[in-house]
Amino acid sequence: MAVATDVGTGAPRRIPPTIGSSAAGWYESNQRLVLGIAGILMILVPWELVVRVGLVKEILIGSPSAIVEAFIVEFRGDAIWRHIWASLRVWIVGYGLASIAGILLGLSAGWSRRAGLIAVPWLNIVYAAPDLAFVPIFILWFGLGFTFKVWVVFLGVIIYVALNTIAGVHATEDRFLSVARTYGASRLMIFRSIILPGALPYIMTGLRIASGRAVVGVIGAEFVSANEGLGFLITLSGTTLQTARVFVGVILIAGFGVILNEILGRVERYFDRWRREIGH
Amino acid sequence: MGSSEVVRVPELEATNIQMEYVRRDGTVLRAIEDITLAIDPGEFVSIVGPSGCGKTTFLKIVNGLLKPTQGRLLLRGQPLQQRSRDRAMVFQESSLFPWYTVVRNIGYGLECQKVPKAEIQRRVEPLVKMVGLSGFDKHYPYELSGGMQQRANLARALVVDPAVMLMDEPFASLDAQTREMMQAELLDIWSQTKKTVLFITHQINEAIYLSDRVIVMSARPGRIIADIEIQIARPRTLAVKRTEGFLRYEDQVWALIEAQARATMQSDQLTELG
Repeated sequence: MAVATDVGTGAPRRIPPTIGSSAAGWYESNQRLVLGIAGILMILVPWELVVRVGLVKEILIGSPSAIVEAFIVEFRGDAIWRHIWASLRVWIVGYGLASIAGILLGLSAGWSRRAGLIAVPWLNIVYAAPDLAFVPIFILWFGLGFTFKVWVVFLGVIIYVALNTIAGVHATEDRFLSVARTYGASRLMIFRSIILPGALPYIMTGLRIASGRAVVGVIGAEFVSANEGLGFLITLSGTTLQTARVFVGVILIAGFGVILNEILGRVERYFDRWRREIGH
Repeated sequence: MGSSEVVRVPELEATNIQMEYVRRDGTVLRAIEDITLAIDPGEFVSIVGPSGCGKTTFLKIVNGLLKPTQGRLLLRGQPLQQRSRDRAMVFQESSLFPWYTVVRNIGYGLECQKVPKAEIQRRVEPLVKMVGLSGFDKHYPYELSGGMQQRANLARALVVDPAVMLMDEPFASLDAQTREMMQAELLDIWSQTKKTVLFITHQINEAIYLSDRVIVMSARPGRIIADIEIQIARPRTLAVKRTEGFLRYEDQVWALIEAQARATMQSDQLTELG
């Protein structure tokens, strides 16, 4: 096949320039890592120093070493696991239910013009309001505890996922629909073969962005009212001047967010593999 | 069989087809007018005409994507069904689904007909070979060149085994060399499959090279102004394009189209001035 060369990127591999000294060569190939660590140290070292020389009180800003110590203390006890599980449980239930509901809502509001006209104004209104603004109402309805927190998360997530799904359905290209009509595709077939695969990348982006918003929802709800969870741990530690312990909570949440974003980013790329810019 | 009288029913018969659109301001735009045309089984017919003459509109009508405001269409003597397995269309731009692999794209028409998976595979395989895509079955469309994408499009239409193939400027977006190669390949595939083809193009040379008959359409509203039988022996190689007979056909068609194109340009200028 003469055209075989058109396949793939076609670009020849760039050959790295030969480097004189091996140290420079090592730096060249590990630049990302080296500069990344340097950036972290640029903050951590002065932070530790200002506390050690007594420029700022540890009680105000904590210190890297104190945070490490607090981590060790926390993970020797088992209260931390209770807090982690309490937050994670709210996140899983709220995010899980809202994702499913958001996709279903988005698909129907995108697919049916009428459903869209009814749903979209509401979605836009709720989207504009911060999720936490609904906390008092949900407490009123569901009382303090697990349920109201799940609802805070649910509301934040469903809006994101639904709006993105609608955008995905609306991005369906006419030329594909013409093909389907030519071959006499049923409505179900059109949905399965065109609408859904076309919308999937949008849905995945919605799910990824919403996962972060769900974390904010969990912690925010726990700030307002809770007796367990990482949000509770942070407020409790803050008000009792255990600054290093505040950072333990913050770092755990941030770590969860980073891992989550990484995993969902991978899933997103998987569903996007047929696109030129991303594939191979 | 064996009876004394053989009635030849045209594969496709269009009678007085007319298509009008109502513009937003309420005026009526007549896209095509009084198109009457019969195509025999196994015939390769091209329609050429100045841009905007309604060739694609006519093709969409034959395909059932548009309903004509007037006229009658018969397929093998039967009125056209809205959804029909008798026609398949090869579109101008790449219309492969980017999220499906080449084989899945080619089998799409069969999937729509709820043909079992094993049979789809059995029917797709020889076509992949015929259009020269062996080894690329599992690739995604973005990994194919423009020519290969159009081969896949062609295979997708052929796999449903339609009586009539409708082709809407399928090679328009290809570069000149690929386009010539694809023309020759199309003829090769056509001679193997013996399909009836209705082919739309604005390239005169392409129409003459491929066709048994070239239909020339007027500027809007599109009417048939000439129906030229191309008496060039088959099989045709690309070299035939440089023969004297071929060039004479080219001159003849070009003269007809040029007059139409000039008329369009003049009326456009008049409306701009007015």
